[in-house]
Amino acid sequence: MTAQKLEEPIRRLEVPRLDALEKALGETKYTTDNVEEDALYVRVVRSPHPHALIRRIDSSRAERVPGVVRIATARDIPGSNYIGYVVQDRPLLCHDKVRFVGDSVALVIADTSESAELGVQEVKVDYEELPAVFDPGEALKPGAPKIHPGGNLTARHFVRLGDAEEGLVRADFVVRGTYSTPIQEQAYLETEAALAYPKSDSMVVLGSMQNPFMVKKAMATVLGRAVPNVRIIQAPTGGGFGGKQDAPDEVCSMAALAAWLTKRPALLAFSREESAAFHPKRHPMIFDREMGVSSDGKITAVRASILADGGAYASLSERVLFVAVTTAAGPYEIPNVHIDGTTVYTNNVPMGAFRGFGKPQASFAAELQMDEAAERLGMDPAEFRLRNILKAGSTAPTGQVLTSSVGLEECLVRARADSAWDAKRRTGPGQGEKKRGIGMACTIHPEGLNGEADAATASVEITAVGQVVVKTGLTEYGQGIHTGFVHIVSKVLGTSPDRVSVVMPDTDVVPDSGPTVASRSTVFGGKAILLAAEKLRGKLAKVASEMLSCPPEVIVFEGDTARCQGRDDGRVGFEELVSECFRRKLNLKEEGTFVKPLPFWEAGHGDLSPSYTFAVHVAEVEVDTETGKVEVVNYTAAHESGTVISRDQFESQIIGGVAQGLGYALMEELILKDGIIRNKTFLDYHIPTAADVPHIRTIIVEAPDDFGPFGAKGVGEAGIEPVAAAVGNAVYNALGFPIRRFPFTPERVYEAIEERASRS
Amino acid sequence: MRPFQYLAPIPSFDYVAPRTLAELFEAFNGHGKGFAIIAGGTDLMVALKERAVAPEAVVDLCRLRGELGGIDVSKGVLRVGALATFSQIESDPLVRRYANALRQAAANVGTLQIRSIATLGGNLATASPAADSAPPLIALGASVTLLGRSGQRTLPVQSFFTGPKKNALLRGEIVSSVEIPAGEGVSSVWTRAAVRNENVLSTVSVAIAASIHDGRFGSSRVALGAVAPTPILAENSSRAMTGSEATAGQAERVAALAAEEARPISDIRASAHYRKHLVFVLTRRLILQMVSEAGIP
Ligand SMILES: Cc1cc2nc3c(=O)[nH]c(=O)nc-3n(C[C@H](O)[C@H](O)[C@H](O)COP(=O)(O)OP(=O)(O)OC[C@H]3O[C@@H](n4cnc5c(N)ncnc54)[C@H](O)[C@@H]3O)c2cc1C
Repeated sequence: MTAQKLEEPIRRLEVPRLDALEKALGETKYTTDNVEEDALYVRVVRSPHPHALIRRIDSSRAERVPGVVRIATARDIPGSNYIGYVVQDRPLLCHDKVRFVGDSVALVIADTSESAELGVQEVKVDYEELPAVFDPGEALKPGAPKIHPGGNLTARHFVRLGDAEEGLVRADFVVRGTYSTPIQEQAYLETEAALAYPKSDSMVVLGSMQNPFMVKKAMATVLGRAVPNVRIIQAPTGGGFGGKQDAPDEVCSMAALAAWLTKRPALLAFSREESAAFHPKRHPMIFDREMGVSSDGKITAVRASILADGGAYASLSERVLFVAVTTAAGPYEIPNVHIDGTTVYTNNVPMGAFRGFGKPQASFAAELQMDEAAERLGMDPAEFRLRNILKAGSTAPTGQVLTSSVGLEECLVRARADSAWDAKRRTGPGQGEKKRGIGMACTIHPEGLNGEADAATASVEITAVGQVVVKTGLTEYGQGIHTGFVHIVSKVLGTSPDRVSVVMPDTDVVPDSGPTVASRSTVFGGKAILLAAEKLRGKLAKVASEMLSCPPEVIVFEGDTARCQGRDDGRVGFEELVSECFRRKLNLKEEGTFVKPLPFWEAGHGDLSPSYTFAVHVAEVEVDTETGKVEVVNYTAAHESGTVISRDQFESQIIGGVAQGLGYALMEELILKDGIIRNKTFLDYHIPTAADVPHIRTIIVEAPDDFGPFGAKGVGEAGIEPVAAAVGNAVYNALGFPIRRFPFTPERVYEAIEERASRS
Repeated sequence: MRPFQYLAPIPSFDYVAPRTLAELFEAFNGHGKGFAIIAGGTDLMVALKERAVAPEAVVDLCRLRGELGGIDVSKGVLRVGALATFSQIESDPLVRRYANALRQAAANVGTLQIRSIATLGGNLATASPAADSAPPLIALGASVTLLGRSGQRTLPVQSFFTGPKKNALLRGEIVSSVEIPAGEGVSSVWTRAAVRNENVLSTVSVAIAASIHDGRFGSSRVALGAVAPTPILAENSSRAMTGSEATAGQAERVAALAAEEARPISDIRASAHYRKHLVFVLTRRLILQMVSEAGIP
């Protein structure tokens, strides 16, 4: 150990975003900016039916379209046609049947996009339509159309703690309700794209993605033994939000298949409409929920059942459901918990990973019901939450005793104060046609892959000229993660950030650091990098101690030099020190690995994560009760994510998450009719503009943890999780009654007001 | 490297940018039926991309700003050229003075980028039931001048629209300008309801033009957007408003009539029921706003 204290929090971002200038100048080269002259264009023939048998695919006419080079169907796949993260149920190209409108049936490979487009029109597929099912409740009924050989049940999960039946009986009152949430589209700026280059004994694919090593695995499955080696390079990626967690497996595999069949580079890139039709979205969920409360404001029990529509293929449904089920009780001390969750197949577009991963849905149901209970109690909802909130030492509703930092209470107290909650919270109904309201919601987010073991490896290397190179499979797709890594390394080695660079992930070059999902990159990747950098620092310290004649323990690294603590005379520059190491033939490359073991989970309870992050949001709205329009006028977001490594990036994650959450709360809803998406483009799928997002006040609660690097926890997802609930509770406060379904579009809010008026 | 296109490129077409009206009509003649006119292009480019049109030639009006642009007043008429952009309209003092509702609508179209190229003529010619400039023009009693090779004709704006995306233009005719009566003492207001605050189709829009004397409305016109196959003049409600007392009670009555006159459809954007309700709410609000701006307690 050296004397320098590394645990000291880093307060301010000294490193500007690495990619900011290049992106602002439009110089970044995305996948489709790399199309070479001889590249072929690939287009996908898609199913127009939600559920149908494929009787015959006739590509003879399409093959004769000038410029069409080849048509590929399932038969042309050298390896396995089936891929998928949890269950391998999704054919790359359907051969016997299609399961949703947009399912992939064949590839048209052509010299130009025009020929490919014409070719698509000429592929004649003879379908035999089958009865389809679009409602998740219908999907499990006997006699429902069977979508997969094993039936329509994708997964079930449950939580059991104490005796919920007993807890509900003992309660002074029970609140009950059914809550439903919409399908949200990731709407990233860059749609899916992959460019595949065939080499003599390998296949190289450049693409827009979150997880190059997952793509590598999927591609190896599809190409099988035909291609001994596949190499995946992540191109700069214009957004992902979970939508590029598994969809690139298919997009890259299709491009690679085309390149393998034609022995030419092949490009597959989606239009906005195709993107909307293809990649998995946020699950719509229905919660039937009851909560028992005692008259002194303690929650005695929660019982809930959750039904999720997973669409035509499993994607990450099983994992998302697990997260929804394990967070459905909320971040409260609840002795008796009984949650059952089911996710089913339907003939809708597949659902999968999306920032928040089941928690935005669970939080909506839990937090709205908290406010309904508070109303019954005649208690301020902030007070009611404070009485039940998780603290260090509490037993979570999953049975885990929380030992690490729990900053939830401080988040609540500070969000309450900064939002002027006590002055603004309305207790009676408001007057006039525009009514104001204020609402609060909490979230809890377990670290790392949920319910799975998790590990990341990264390497740090110092070159002969004193450049520091970081290699990790964790991808930058808009979050700023690589800038965070530079920050960590330059802090450990005391170098200026300019010396440190992060290699673009390439499976031939970087180690597998696990997927870039689940708010895990700073925590897992950052810690692996920190461990590698500390090993290097140990080596450097040893050499420096000999050069400076003081023990290695007192060598301090800062300002691109090493010196002995407490002495001003001797110091050695970083480059000189590195040269000396090279002269001594020392290996200046180190790897770090950080592991979270398989969590304990059995019989509906266990320990999910060594550490959790928390947030409390307060939304203030003005509801136009005549038009139903909800305006969010103020927003406060308090977050506890351990130590903050970079304040700017931390805040931008929160602000981005809140903005995306406001879209979810107020306007975003993918509308499907008989499996057909009615609003594929931004004309009718509305995401918020700057004019819809108020100033967002961020509050950072630091509660250093011993898990991640410098005590940091993840922050990528928590920002979106409680937003719909906070807005829902603010609307509830404004109107005096809850609306248990969102988005809170003007028409939906107006309808609720009208219905309420007609009932009373 | 070659530039990448998601969709096959738009099929090629001839491009002409005539310098005079004579050349313009010549160009129309030369291309028989297969030409499309482009002004700002904010609707046409979308139609080209979606292959809704596949013209042989595109005739650009951009060099005819002298003939088809400009905003001026003479002899009690405010003339707005077809090529006036929404940015120009939004910031023009004459428009502010004589056609406030049009200014308000212009300021809400799309985004800054759209407003700085989208033209009034293009907005009318597209003939969307939701065209934001239409209700203000109809309320203000404006007419539109159509120019063809053999002369010009003038129509009330509400008669220019003949159906969703259909208008009264004959092949070879263009919209050259809009004429708005520039009456002193007439005030006009516009408002709309939409799912978000910017860059969004109006769910419903309403414009009203009226004068107020001695606590009563003079000649009044209520116009509605996005609630019928075309933007419409709400005749019954306009009639009821004309001569009525400028009071809250009258506002309710006029608004209820307007809601009755609306003939909306239900689609993914809104239900017919909700649209009718919005007509009522927005109409009543506009009338109350006019009453309060006129200083009537
Ligand atoms: C992002 C976006 C946001 C938008 N927001 C709004 C909005 O808020 N409200 C709204 O009402 N509209 C909106 N629009 C639609 C569009 O911008 C307007 O209709 C605009 O006024 C069209 O004018 P333009 O000059 O761009 O027309 P162009 O696209 O050039 O032409 C439109 C049509 O009119 C014809 N045409 C053009 N000028 C003439 C002429 N002088 N004589 C005869 N025919 C002519 C063309 O042939 C074409 O058919 C939006 C469009 C986009 C892309």
